[in-house]
Amino acid sequence: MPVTPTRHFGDIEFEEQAVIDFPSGLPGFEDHCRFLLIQAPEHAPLLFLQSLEHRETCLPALPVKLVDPLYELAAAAEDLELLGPGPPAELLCLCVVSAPNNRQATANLLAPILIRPSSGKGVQAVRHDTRYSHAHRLNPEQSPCS
Amino acid sequence: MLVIRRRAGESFLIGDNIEVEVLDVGTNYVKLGIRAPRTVAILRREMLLTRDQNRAAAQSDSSTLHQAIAKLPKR
Repeated sequence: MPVTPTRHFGDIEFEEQAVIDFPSGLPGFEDHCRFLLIQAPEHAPLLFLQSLEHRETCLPALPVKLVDPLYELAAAAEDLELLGPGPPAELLCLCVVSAPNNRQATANLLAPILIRPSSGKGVQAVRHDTRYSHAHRLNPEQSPCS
Repeated sequence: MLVIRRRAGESFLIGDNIEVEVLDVGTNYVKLGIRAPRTVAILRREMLLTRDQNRAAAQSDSSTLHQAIAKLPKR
């Protein structure tokens, strides 16, 4: 079984079928096309998109529905085409979580990561509308009245 | 911000070698054509925001992440 170095989990073994192919990379990481989706119980519900091209490139993510239970997906036709044919219900819909040192953690709801497990393809589907924020606060401040 | 009014078929220039033409105007969209040197990067704004957000996410600090997910509703 192939082994890859990772940013958070040391060297890990993986199966070739588990590799997710992002044909157009991710914005900011256009030359990274092969990723592993790592789930570790100690970090649940957080998931990690680890690049197979570069050990240091690992993006934390959460299921979109956990961040916004009412989230409505609106992916462009070209993004859906990249994923290959299949039922919409099968799609894994994640959002990238950003938590830079000493700053509020935010989730990118403007550009969900879509993964079709049956084809092994993924895409970051940047929305064309302005309905959702690229920096949705994960822990909005409690209002003093509540 | 400079505001100019253009109709479909009209264009304007940015500097000497970038031309933006309004190709079509719909009820809730405009279709633009851009002529520019290959070296000029043209990026949709939401793509730029996502690029910066992805880069910031890759620098995420694990203790900040854990504080954030600890407060998420449990499922």
